[in-house]
Amino acid sequence: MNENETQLKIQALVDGELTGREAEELRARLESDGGLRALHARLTAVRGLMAGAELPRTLPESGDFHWSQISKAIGHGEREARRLAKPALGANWLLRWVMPLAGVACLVLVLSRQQTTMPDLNILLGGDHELELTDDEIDVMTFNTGDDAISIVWLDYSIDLQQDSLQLWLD
Amino acid sequence: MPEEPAYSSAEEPQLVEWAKSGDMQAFEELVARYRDRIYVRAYSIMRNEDLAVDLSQNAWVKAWQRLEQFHGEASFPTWLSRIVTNLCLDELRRQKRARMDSIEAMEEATGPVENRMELETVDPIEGLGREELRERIDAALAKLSDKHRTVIVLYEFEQFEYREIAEKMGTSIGTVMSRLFYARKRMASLLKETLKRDGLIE
Amino acid sequence: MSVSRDNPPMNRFTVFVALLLFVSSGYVTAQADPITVQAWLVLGSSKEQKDKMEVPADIKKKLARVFKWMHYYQLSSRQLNIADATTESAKLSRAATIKVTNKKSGKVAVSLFSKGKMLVQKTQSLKPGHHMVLAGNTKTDSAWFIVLSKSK
Repeated sequence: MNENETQLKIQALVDGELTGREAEELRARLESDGGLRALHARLTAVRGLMAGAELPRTLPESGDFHWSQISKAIGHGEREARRLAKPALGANWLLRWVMPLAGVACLVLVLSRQQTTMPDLNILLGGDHELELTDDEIDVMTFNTGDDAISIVWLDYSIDLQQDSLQLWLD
Repeated sequence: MPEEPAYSSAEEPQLVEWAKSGDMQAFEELVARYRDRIYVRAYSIMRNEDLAVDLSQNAWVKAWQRLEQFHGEASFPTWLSRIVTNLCLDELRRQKRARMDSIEAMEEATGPVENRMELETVDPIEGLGREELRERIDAALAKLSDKHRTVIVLYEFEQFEYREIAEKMGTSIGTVMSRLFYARKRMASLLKETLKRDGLIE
Repeated sequence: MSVSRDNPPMNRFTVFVALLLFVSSGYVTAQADPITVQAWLVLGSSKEQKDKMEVPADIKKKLARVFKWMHYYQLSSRQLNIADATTESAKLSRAATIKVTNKKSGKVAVSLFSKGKMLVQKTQSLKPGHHMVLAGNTKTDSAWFIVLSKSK
């Protein structure tokens, strides 16, 4: 056994990874070899230092945000799985429910157009929040803080932040 | 109307059962309980805040998708920790940074030479608080190469055996032993250096 | 809830009529008061940028509750006075414009346009002291925020 192998065996002994017979043989060598005993002691000291020494850290983003990202990814995965698993919706279902509801929606739209130019055919998000996204390519995520004081719509979209020079004068 | 379960006071096995049956709120509570712990493990291996956050999130998503496979052989956080560790190892493999000119590559190629270096004696001097020592150990870990840091994190913190580390890292047990030995020597040397510099040891 | 396959057509018609009456009555009675909405365009960054002005402390505090950037810089801000059931717009950057509609029941509809193209429209109640935030990443390691709040 060369020096390198011996060092690794001593380490394995410290780590409790040696089998009974090998461990016994090495322990016998340790008794007669001061150098190996010192190595054993040093490795044991380093192990002792490292035990439970992982520095605790706090996630650098808020728990709400972290969860919103996770739940969004879970939702996306489940939608994708459903999309792959299920056949397209039947025409019967379409005729039975979607067409009459679309009729009602059109009437509501006609009424509401007299008051505002904004269409009301939006996605209901729960509560009184509605979201309309015009580009399917843009990934979007919405969430509220626990106390509902801040509602956030996060878009996977980079807008141009440059200011007009005229605007800079006005600011 | 049935009463909503008291998630915050529920025991972990109960939360896991609820989550298995599709209860997202139960899963959210599990995330709240263990998100820092999972992040710490990812950070210990990757040493990059953004990557650690992303990998932690991915680990939670994978955990949700694989909840059926969790049968309580290990504790839930241990199971999660294994998931995030695997993701980190995949990420390290994916990155495969071309650092062949680094000291690490040289050391890998010349194992017996490095192993002849003397292992520094480290004495965690009395009076140095555990927290302070942890911070120094953390700083020293940051200075190790990915391979050496990973092996020491998996062994000391994740409590894998040599064989498991070899399997996870796709290498031999001998290489794992060699890397672990080198990593410990480097840690001892770095710690001695920092303690000396700060006048905490002679 | 199970749905009978043999709903008589009359029943469904009755439901439609009831729905229409419900919607129409809301249309007639609900009115919105004039409102003032403040909008900020904010850059969130981990790097200090001495040439930029930090956002007001209360806005920074709100954003920092949720997001992780070290600095929040105000790139522009606008105030919109919006009469009942009307829409006002404000240009916040060369490319970004918002349109805010004062809707009934205390709701506002905020549309974000980039280079003239509408990206998103969010409709919700906005109580004084509460904030609506539209946000996204920038191409560098930072983020943009459009923060809206309603004055009392």
